[in-house]
Formats: sequence, C-alpha cells, structure tokens
Amino acid sequence: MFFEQWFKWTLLLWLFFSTFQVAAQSNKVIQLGLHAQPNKCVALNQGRECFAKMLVNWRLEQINDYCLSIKYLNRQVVTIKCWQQSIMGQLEYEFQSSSDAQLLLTRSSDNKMLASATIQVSWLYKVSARKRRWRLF
Amino acid sequence: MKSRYLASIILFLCLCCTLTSKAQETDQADSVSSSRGGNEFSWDISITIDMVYESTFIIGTEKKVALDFLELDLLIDVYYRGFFFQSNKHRYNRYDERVEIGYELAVNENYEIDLISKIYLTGFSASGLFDNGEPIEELAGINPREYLSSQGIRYRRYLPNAVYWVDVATNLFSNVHDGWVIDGFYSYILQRRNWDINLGAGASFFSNEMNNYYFSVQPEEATSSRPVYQAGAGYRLQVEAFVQHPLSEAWLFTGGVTLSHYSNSISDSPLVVRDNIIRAQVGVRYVF
Repeated sequence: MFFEQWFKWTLLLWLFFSTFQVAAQSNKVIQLGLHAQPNKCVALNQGRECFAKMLVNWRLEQINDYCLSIKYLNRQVVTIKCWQQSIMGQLEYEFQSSSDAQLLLTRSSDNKMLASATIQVSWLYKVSARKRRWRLF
Repeated sequence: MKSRYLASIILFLCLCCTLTSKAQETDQADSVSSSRGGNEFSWDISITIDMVYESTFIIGTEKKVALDFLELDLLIDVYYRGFFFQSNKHRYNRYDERVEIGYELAVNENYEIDLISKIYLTGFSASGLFDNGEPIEELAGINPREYLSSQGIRYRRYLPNAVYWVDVATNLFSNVHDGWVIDGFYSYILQRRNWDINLGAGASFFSNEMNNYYFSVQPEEATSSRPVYQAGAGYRLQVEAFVQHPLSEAWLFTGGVTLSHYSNSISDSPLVVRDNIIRAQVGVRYVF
C-alpha cells in the first residue's frame, strides 16, 4: 500500500513538471523568416486528417508585396493570403491534412520563394495489423 | 458440466477447421493480399493514469482516501497471426473487464469471428475487489469470488463509423461454476477535428449459475445482516460516452462516463449496494 501511494505521488509530480517544461519551451521569440505555431499536428491514428489552428508569422528585411501559400504532399500549391508593401505579417490558419505540408512565402513580383516552414503531421497510434481492417481505425 | 464439455468440443472443432482453412489460404494467397495482416506482428503498450469516480457496487468497497480515486494501469496489446491479447478500445469501463485474449477464426473488412476469453464480471472477496486489500467488515466471512475468465465466441460487425459485437461465453477452464453469459455492445464513433467521441450501449445476460456464484449468499456465509440469498439469472444494461484526444505523439487525453443498470436479481443481493452504477473517469495515457 505504501509503495502504491508513493508511486502515485511520484507520477503526479512528474506529470506536473513535464507539462510545465513543455509550456516553457513554447514561449519562443519570433525571428526573421516564416514561422508557424504550432508547427506540428498530431492525429489520433496514422492516416487520419489532422486539424490545427496555427498562428503564422513572417518578417523580412525589405518592404515589398508578398504571398503566403501552402503545399500539401502530391497537391498543387494553394495561396493563402497576400500582403502589399509589407515587411511583416500574421494570420491564423486552419490547417487540415493527413500528411506533412510546407508553408511558402514568395515575393509577388517574381514569385521567388524567400522563406518556408514545414508543418509536420504525426500520430499517436500507427496502423497495426489488427487495426487496419476497420475503416476508421 | 455437460454444457461445458459440449462448448469445449464446439470451440475446439471451430479452431481446428479455421486453422486448416487458414493454412490453405496462406499457400494460395499469401502474396496476393495482406489486408488481413494475418502474418504480421503488432503491439501497443501504454500506461494510463485516471481519476475515477465510481458509485459503490459491492458493499463495503467505498473509496476512502483521495488517492484511491487515482487509478494506474498498464495496457498491453499484442497481435500475432490471429492471436491477440488486447484491451478493448471501444469500451471505457473497468480495465480488468476490457482485457481480452483471443484468436481470429474469420476476419474480413465487414466482420470478424473470434474465440475469446475475458472477464465479464469482476471478482471480490472479504478484502474487497482486490485480494491484497484490508479486510472489510461488511464482507467478512464470505467465500472469495474469483476473477474468472469466460471463454466463447465473438461475432463483431464493422460499420462505417460504428462497431457492434455479441459474445457468447461460458466458464470452460475452472470448476467454480458452469455459468454462461451473452454480452452485446454497440459503439458509434463521431470524429470532431482531432477528437474521437464514442457513444455506446450494451447488454449482458448472466445465467443462473454465473449470477449465483457472484451474488448469492450461501448458508455458510449468512449472518444477521447478510441473509441467505439466491440470485438467479439476471442482466446488466450499459450506456457509455467517452472522448479521446491526442495531446502529443505519446500522450492521449481520455474522459468519459459509463452508466450501468443491474437487474433486481443482482441488485437485491445483500452483497450489492444499488442497481444503478455510475463510473466517470478522466485521465491521460502514455503510449510507448
């Protein structure tokens, strides 16, 4: 009984401190370039669509016209938003994909890519031999 | 006893027939289709930490201190060539009632027929739900009700966003009782963004012998406050709702509630506190 109680308290403390550590790591200062926060989307099962509301920030050194677009695996590039005569921008983006995607920041005048950020899609449960047979799992 | 031997023979014959047919299929189509995954090995190991509230079912087993509401469990799922040891992921009741050992007799995209062994009713003794607990005054002098697995056949049907199954099982490997159970459950899954919302309902029918083993009071167990009682056959109805949400690649959030209603033959037992049981739990799972 003593060991069980001790183990439960230890586990609770470990959970508390690991959560605190993750929260501390997430407070990063936005630098020059293109950044998405969060930049990882975790689905419950492998192959499932993953959903995430992301805050996308960008900042460059010169004022110009820029466009933000996204490229999903095996799909065409889709423009999300363009800015005129800007040096920085920010938007909330509703991400939805079952595979990794890349955010691209391009200069409108010559379509040159100036910055990119990868959004990684991962999962908790991989498809196993036993789960594969059911459409949902 | 006759029913047990008959059930054993039927199960054995089913197993033999299926093993033979599976061997033939392997020869013919091993390289053609791997959708069954019959030749694959897979496993999941996870640790769950749950805060659990459960209304008392067996007399004297109330949770007393705060940490009693914290439950830790190690879940191991292993699958190899049709054999499986798993915790039923479509249920959210007690973990010991979710553990299933079995073998796939037939399986395809739409349905599955398994040999199955699992605990349908949990045991208890004079020291409560677990043998290592402290003696409980209200249960003093009772014969222990063992944690017994029943063995039988499961038919499981897969639908686009749902699954249901029916188990017919009896107690094959012990001489404790000859009881049998029919257990059915339907589970519907709603996906909302990265959340899975599982809604389920089920019914279990326990035979006379099975109920008597767990819920009757034998003359040698009777006291002034615990009269002799003969339970007879009975049933349990359950409705369940739970959610799952991945917090990271390793952590899963879970939460849900199970409501159980027991028939009068069970709830009238001097060993049982009430007919309606609520179990609510919230927790996290670490998946290795």
